[in-house]
Amino acid sequence: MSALARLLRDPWPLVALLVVAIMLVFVAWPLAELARQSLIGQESGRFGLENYVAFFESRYFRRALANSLTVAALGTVFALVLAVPLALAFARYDFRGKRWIEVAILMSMLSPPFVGAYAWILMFGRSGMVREALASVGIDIPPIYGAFGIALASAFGQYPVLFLVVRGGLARVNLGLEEAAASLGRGRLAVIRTVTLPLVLPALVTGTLLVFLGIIADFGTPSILGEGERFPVLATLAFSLYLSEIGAEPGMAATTAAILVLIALALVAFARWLAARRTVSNDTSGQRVATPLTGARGALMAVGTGALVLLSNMPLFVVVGSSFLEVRGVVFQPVLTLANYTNAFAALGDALWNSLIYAAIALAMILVIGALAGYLIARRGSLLSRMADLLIMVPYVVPGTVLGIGYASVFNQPPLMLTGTASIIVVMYVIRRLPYVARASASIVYQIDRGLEEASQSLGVRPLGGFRRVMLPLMRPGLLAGAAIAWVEVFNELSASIVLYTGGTRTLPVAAYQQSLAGDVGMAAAYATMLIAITAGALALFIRLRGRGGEVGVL
Amino acid sequence: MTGAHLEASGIKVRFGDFAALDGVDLSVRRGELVTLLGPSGCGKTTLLRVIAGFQQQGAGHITVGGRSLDGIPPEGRNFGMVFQSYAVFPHMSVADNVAYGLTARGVRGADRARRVQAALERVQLGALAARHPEALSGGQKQRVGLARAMVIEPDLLLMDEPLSNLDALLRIEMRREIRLMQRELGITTIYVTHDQEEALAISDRIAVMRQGKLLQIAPPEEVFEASAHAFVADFIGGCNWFDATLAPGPDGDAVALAEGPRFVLPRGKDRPGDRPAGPVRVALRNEDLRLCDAPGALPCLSGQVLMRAYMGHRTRLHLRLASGATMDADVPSGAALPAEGEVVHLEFHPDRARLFTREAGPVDGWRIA
Ligand SMILES: Nc1ncnc2c1ncn2[C@@H]1O[C@H](COP(=O)(O)OP(=O)(O)OP(=O)(O)O)[C@@H](O)[C@H]1O
Ligand SMILES: [Mg+2]
Repeated sequence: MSALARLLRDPWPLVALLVVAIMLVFVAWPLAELARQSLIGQESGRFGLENYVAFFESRYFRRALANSLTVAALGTVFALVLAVPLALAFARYDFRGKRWIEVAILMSMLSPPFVGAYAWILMFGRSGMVREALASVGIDIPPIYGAFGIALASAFGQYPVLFLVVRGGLARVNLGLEEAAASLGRGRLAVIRTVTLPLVLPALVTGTLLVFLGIIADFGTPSILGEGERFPVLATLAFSLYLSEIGAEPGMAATTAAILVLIALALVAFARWLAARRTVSNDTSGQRVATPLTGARGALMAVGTGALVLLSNMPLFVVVGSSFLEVRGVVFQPVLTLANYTNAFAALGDALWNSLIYAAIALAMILVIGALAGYLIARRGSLLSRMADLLIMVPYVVPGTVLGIGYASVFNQPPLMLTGTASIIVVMYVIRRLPYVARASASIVYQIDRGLEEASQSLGVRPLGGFRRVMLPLMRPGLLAGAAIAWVEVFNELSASIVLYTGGTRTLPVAAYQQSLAGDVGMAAAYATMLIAITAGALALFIRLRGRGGEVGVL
Repeated sequence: MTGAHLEASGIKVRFGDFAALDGVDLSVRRGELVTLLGPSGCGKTTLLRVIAGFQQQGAGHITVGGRSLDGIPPEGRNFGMVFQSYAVFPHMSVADNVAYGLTARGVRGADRARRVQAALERVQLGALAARHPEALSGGQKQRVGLARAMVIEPDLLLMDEPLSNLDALLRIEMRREIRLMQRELGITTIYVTHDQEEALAISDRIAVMRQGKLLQIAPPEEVFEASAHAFVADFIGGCNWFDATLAPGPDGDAVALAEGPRFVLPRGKDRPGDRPAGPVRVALRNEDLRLCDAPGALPCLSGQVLMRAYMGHRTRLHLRLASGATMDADVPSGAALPAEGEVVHLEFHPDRARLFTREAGPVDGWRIA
């Protein structure tokens, strides 16, 4: 058979090649360029570690590094305290209202982190509602800006991820193992400590890593709660360096970006090492069944978890509620109005439209590439597909700000002159969120019996035909679940858009962020509410699309 | 049955350093059902996948009906496959599953519907055509798999442990159905199993494999009665093994078991003489041993009964011999059985003893003498 005939019959190698090529151009190239620039001395122009030396000699830069690490560590601890007990309760017990509380937990994932941060300011900021109310009865608390506030807001934004990962891990622990331990005479807490925790450790490590990376990469929250330059972290520092270096050699911005990436890589390596060292192969044969809690114990559980979740959703309520309140100066009045929306729409320009279009196009591309890539990763062990796998996962650990700066510095000249265009934002959306859908798709493919494809082939259908008629229909529910997450993330994307947008390509999150940072508090609340409403609406649509037997399982 | 339908020669497959198939020759006649039998990991699935085209062989050739399979992808071979996991498409109805291969062959409309229905009726699923697989039992799913593979009128039917996920009774029922249908339609079939009883019951011929090599291919009776290798004898039916020495003498070959008994094997047409003197191994099947009151003319083994296991018509005695070795003997159940702890004598006819000599080579180990 000629090479061409073979490719026509089975074009997967070609698909792998395409995916790798796309990833090389849009992931490897910008990152390599940043690395190169970080190694060209800002002062001398010579190749070397000059910028890194300068970075660590500057007190301000060192402070940003320390702030980033402090905030991420503190925020991760807060998130663990919130998520682990919740996950235990949800994995092990059934109680009334559990489903609603679960929906509420997922709801706190719907808004971009900076909206949460903004809500905390509305409550506990310098002229925050709760703070003022407390002050009027003589209780003075410091405003929420700085490390503690950022950690707290981040934790409330990030804990649902941790909750989902840990609960998933708990669900896979064989019930028989816990029962065996209990039958050997160990008490409930001892069973958790000696059997359950070691078995969910991989999930716990993964979840913790995700949260830590999420906080360290976040731009919006520290930018809003850190009041810009007063509490610098690496992400905001990279951004302001980038702005100040526009036109010049972006050496220090590149260096800061590189340090961010290095921290992320070190963490991933550490987590992998930890998981590999402590993982025991988990016997997952026993189905997990939750114990029903009735009467007073059930009620207590519902009230306890419910209160926690309600607290984490406070920012949502505050933002949505205050968007309908009249504003005088920077203070909300207890008067209902739609004025904020009228003003918001007047100042909106193309932002809403841009967001919808960019996100929709990006989502379609993510779905197509993600489905193909996931299949490649799971089914084809070739060198190309292993490369594709590796490259696709890179943006997972690269903060948006870093990717944005990388894009701005390579796509501003031929052959790929993209800066200022809508394409660059769409491409960035795709690249940043592809890992989620590719992973989701790969994990579904892993679960599908290989025999199905072989059966199809033995019945006379070519590999690609089998993919279309057998694999795709079976992958659909999982793909839609992956797409739902991708939608939330893409539609609310801020940290790279803030670098890449221009007047004509401003998006809704950018508009909301700008108003929250230094604009009209009412309009900021109105924009944020629009973000939340559209995200939630689209999500409801996805869940409906998933159809029969659909669960939000993967979400 | 006419000449060879499938002819595979010198098939080799390596996974890294490991030889999964180490030069296998297999020839299957038209309309024949050949089982590949062997322990886990011996390469049965690998051989089947090479024939199906899912696994590329490192060396060797296969022809089917005189046509070489080189360069023909699985979808071009027109072989039906039946999977251990059933591999029934879960998003299609039973009828759509069966129609899948017909559609790929351009069969449409009423013709397709008629053939699907006929295939379903043959596997007794005529009434379930509209069902979805999630509402089927394991046995029913495998019937769908069968109908789906048969309906395309394959040149060869390949089945990889099709029944091993079913319960014991259903397994026996289904294997009978498969055999009857295979005979009726005259479909040349290669059937993989690691269940020796299943292989004995269903096959025209059994190919016993071990460590990537084919040790013996012969009809069930021959594989059982005249095992070509110690491994085959042991794998099919099970044997008690005794070390012995062989010395050719004037009346025949004198065999002396280390355990005590000695006997002479006269030369005959099925026992050519001139076996080299030296160590041999003697295999005795459980049912070849008979209880006797005292050692007599026949060679006899004595041992203490450690355990009695009642198995219906027969009872298995687990014994310890004088040397400390243990063995099993199956004797007719009845009142006269020895009690546990009792010392008993078991005689056997020299004709029942199978001799194996050590031979060079890592796989064969012992070969029939
Ligand atoms: N893709 C592969 N890569 C590496 N080794 C493999 C691969 N497929 C099979 N093997 C090895 O080749 C040997 C033969 O495997 P095969 O699946 O053919 O065995 P089998 O006889 O079908 O066993 P079973 O009865 O357990 O199904 C095994 O040792 C197996 O581990
Ligand atoms: Mg097998």
